[in-house]
Amino acid sequence: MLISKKQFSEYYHSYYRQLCVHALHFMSDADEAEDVVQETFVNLWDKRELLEAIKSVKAYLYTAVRNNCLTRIRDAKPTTSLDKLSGEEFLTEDEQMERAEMEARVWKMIDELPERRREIFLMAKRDGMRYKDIAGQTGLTVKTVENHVLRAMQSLRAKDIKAYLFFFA
Amino acid sequence: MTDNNRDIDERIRFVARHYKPNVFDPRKGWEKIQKQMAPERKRRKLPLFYSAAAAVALLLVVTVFYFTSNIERELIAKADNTLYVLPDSSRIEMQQGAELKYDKNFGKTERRVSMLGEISFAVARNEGKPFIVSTPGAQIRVLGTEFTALADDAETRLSVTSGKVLFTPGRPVIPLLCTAGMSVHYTAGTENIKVNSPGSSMEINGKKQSLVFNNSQLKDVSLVLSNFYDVQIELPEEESALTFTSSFAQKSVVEIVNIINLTLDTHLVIRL
Repeated sequence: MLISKKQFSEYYHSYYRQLCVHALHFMSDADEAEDVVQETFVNLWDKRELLEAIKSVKAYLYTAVRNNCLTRIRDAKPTTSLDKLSGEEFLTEDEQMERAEMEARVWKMIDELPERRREIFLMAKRDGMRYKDIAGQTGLTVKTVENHVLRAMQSLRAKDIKAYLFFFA
Repeated sequence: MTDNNRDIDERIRFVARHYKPNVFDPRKGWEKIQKQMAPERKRRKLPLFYSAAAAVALLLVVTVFYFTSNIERELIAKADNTLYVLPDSSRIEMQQGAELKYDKNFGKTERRVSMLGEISFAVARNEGKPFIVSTPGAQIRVLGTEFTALADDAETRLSVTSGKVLFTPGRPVIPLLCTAGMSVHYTAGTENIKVNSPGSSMEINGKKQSLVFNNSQLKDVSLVLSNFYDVQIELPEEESALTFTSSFAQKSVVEIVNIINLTLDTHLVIRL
């Protein structure tokens, strides 16, 4: 029995973001990472008769995304050393999944930050700008900038810590 | 905790470094991927459970907002008709605010989840690993496939779409085998259990010590009596499908069994 589009959509929506972040560890570019994940899902849809034989669809997707990333890297720059990927090898498959799930959550939480706070947070953490320079550019005081960044970090951490309370409680 | 904190900070740093707005959005990605997906050759007829909310659910993003950790995972539905696939490929459909938890050992020897709110389950068949749903007041052990449970601290409701489900309220402890078309409404505070089956119903109340049988089969009646009064009741096989209608309040099991035997000319025997 072939998997229905609806069932496929469930897999897609459940794993899409975490697979994108997983790919990001190989591709270092969000658009490319997203591209690989889309391609992986299209391939899976074309070969969906195989789905029945796959024990864990999630594990399959993680491996497929990883392989597709490596293929792309190899094809793009045949001389690229895979050394920079060596860090990946220290993580087990489960750890890679856990990491991607956590990062996918953080990604979504950044999406959900109030716009102003997100902007300032990204200037500091993504662009590496000093609070003083952010203040200069935004017309805010250094104190306010610092506050925004701390609050953003707090909310990103806080929601995550909640997940751990289930077994510490 | 410090290790976790450090790990979280590192994850935040990694994400922040690569963050772009409007990417990694499953809703947008899904819209885009549609064009590249070859159409389904033929539509398989989906069971009612799936088709009911499918149209809406496909449009609604899967907004299960879930927290993971080494030990336990908790899903909270942010919208109605939220779909999720459990690791054993059982499917659930959660209504807004519904919560489901399972731990790391899910699927090792058994599939155990706990829940609140309203959730429909389509449980993947696996005889070797029973699927067990705990609500604050009761336990539902799944022997077959599809059912919906609705639970809060005070009440648990169950309705079975197909297959068999063993429903065990916390008090009085009466394991009730529920088949397709049956529903149970259990209120923990009053210790009241209502069971509706196609063509029959019963109501059991632990506080009032009352029992109501309406067109119930004797095998079900004797099962309830034996658990309610903690005795063994023997029922001749050929009498088990006879039906019985009556209500009792604060009667002893001996009186009830006598009344049944007199009314139906049956041969129930109590073994103490």
